Amino acid sequence: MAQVYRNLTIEAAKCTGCRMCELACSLKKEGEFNPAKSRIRAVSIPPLPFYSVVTCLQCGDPPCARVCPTAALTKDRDNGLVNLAEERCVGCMLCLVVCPFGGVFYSSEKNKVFKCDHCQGDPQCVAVCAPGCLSYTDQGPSYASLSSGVDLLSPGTSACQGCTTELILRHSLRTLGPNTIIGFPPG
Amino acid sequence: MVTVPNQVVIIGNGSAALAALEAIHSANAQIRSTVVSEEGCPAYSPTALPYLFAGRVEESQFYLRAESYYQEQNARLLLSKRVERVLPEEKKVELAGGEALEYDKLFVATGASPVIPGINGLKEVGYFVFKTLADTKALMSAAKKAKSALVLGGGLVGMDTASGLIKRGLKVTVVEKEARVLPLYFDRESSELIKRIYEENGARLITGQEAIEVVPEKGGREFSLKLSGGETLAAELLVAAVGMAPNLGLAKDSGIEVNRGILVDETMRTNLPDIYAGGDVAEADDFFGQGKLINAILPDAVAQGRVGGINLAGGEARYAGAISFNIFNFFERAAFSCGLALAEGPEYKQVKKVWPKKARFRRLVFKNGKLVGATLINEAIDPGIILHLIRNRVDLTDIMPNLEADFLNFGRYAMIKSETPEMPKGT
Repeated sequence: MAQVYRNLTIEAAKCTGCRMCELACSLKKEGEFNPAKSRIRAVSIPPLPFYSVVTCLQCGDPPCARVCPTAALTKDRDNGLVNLAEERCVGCMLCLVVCPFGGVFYSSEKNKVFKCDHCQGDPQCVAVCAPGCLSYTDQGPSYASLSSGVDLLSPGTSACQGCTTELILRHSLRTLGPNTIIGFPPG
Repeated sequence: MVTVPNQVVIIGNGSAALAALEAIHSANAQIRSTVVSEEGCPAYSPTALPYLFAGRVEESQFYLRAESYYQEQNARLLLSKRVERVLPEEKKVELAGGEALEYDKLFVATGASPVIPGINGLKEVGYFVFKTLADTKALMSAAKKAKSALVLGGGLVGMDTASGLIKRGLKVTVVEKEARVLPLYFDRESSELIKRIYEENGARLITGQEAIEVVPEKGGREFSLKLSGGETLAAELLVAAVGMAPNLGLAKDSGIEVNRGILVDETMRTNLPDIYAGGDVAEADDFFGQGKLINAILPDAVAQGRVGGINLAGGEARYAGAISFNIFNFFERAAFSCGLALAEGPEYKQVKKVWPKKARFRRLVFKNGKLVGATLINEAIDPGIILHLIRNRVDLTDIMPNLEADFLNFGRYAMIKSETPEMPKGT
C-alpha cells in the first residue's frame, strides 16, 4: 500500500529573507527565539538578491540514517520522516558530514544533533511564512507544482518516497538495463 | 550476462557488511545470505566506542540492528564464528571448528585491527588498544583505578582516547612519532591549534619521538617508558594507538590480491570472480584519480558495502572513489578536514584565513574553480555541503567573490544553485 507523505516544500523564488521561519521554529522546539536553535535556516548572500532556506528534506534514501553509528537516525516508513532518537545520539557529527543539503545541525550545548521533524504534522515555519515560500502539501500537489523544475525521482528529493510508480520504474530499469528511456505521464 | 546468486556469504558484521546485506536484499529478496561475525555481540560501529567510553551513550542504545533484522533481509547471522579459510576453487569458506559454508558470491568485510608497536617489554607491561567493544570495556574498567595514562600515537584514535581519559580525570601524555599530531589530516598550523587546546586541558603532547622500551616499575602500579629523545616517562595505563592494519590473513591465504588492503575495482570486485570486498579491509579507487587507498571511515564502508552488494547481486553500481574526511570533536570544539586538504602545488589555489586567538582556522583548496579540499577548525560550516561541492565538482568560479564575507552561506548558496536547475528571477 502506498503511503501518502506530506512534504515541506520550499520555493526560493518567493522567499523574502524575513527569517520568521527561524524564529517560529526555535520558539516551538526550544521555547526561545534563537535562530541558532532553529531546524530551518535562512540563506542569504549579499549583495546577491537571493533568499531561501535549508532544512532536512526527509530524504527517501537518507545518507544520514545509513551512516549513523548508533542507529539514532532512521527513516520512518509510516510518516516519511527521518527520525532522530536523541537518547542514542552521541554527537559524532557523521550525519552532518554526509547530508548534502545541510539539513542537520549540531548543538554544542547538548553534544547532539537536531533536525526538522515537521512539528508533529503542523510545521510552524509554514504557518508563519507570509510570502508563501514554505508550504506543507501532500505528494500529489507537490509533484504537480514542482514537476517543471526539479528531477523528482532523484534520490534525496522529498518526493522520492518509493511509491508504486517509482518502484515499477526502477524495476523496469533494472530489468531492461541502462540506456533505457521510459516515458510516463506526470503524477 | 547477469548472474544472480542464490546464496551469499558475508564475512564481517560491521558497517560495510550491513550495507552490503541491505543492498543485496534490495536488489533481490530471493537471495539468501549468511553473515559471519567473529564477535559475540550484536552489530555495532567502532565509531561509537569513544562515546561509550566517555559515557555519552549506554550500551543498550548502541547496537545497530535488532535481532529480527537479519531474517527480514533473508539472512542468518552466525555470531562468535571465525572464518579460518576461504576456498575460492570450491566456493566455500571454512569456519573454525570445521563447518563449511558454500557461496555463489562472497563479500569480505573483515575490517582492520590495531597495529601493535614493536617495543621491548610491551607484552610484559600490558597495554590496551581501542578497537572493539571488548577493548573499550577493558579500558573503562582499568581507567577507574588509574591516575595516569600514556597514549602511544597522536592520530585520531590516540587523540580521542586521550581526551576521553582526561575527562575521566587521568593525567595523560600522548607520544606521536611524526612532527605533529593528527599528521594525516591537519597541517602544521592547524595541528598546533589542536595541540594547544589539549595542553590547556592538562594533556602533555610529545611529538617527533618514539617509544624505545617499556619496563614495569618494581612493586608499583606504574611502568616507565623510554623515548627516543632520551626522556623517561612514567604512567599507570598504556594505550597503543599507532595505527590500524587491514585484516588480510584470509585474503592472502586464498589468492585474493592484496596490497596494503584487499585490492578492489570500482565495483568492489577483487581479482577473483565472485569475491568482493569493502570497508576498512579494502583498497579502492581514490576520487581524485591519484591511485588506490584505504579510506577507513564509516561513510565509505557504507558506500563500498552498498556498491559491492548491488554488483554481487547482479546489479550495476560504481564506487565514485574515496574522498578522505574526518570530523573530530575535542573539548567542545570541532575540527573538520576533507579531500586534498594538504595539497600544495601550482595547480591548486589556496584560500586561507586564521583567527589565532579564537583557535579558528579556515583553509580551502581549489582546482580549476572547484573545491577539492578543506580544513576547518572552530568555524560554522555545513560539512556535508562542503563534501557535496567536492563530490559533484561544482564550479564555484562565479561566486568566489562571495566566499570571504560569509563562508557558511556561500556553501549553502552554492549547494542550492547546483541542485536547482532554475534560478529565481532576478538572480
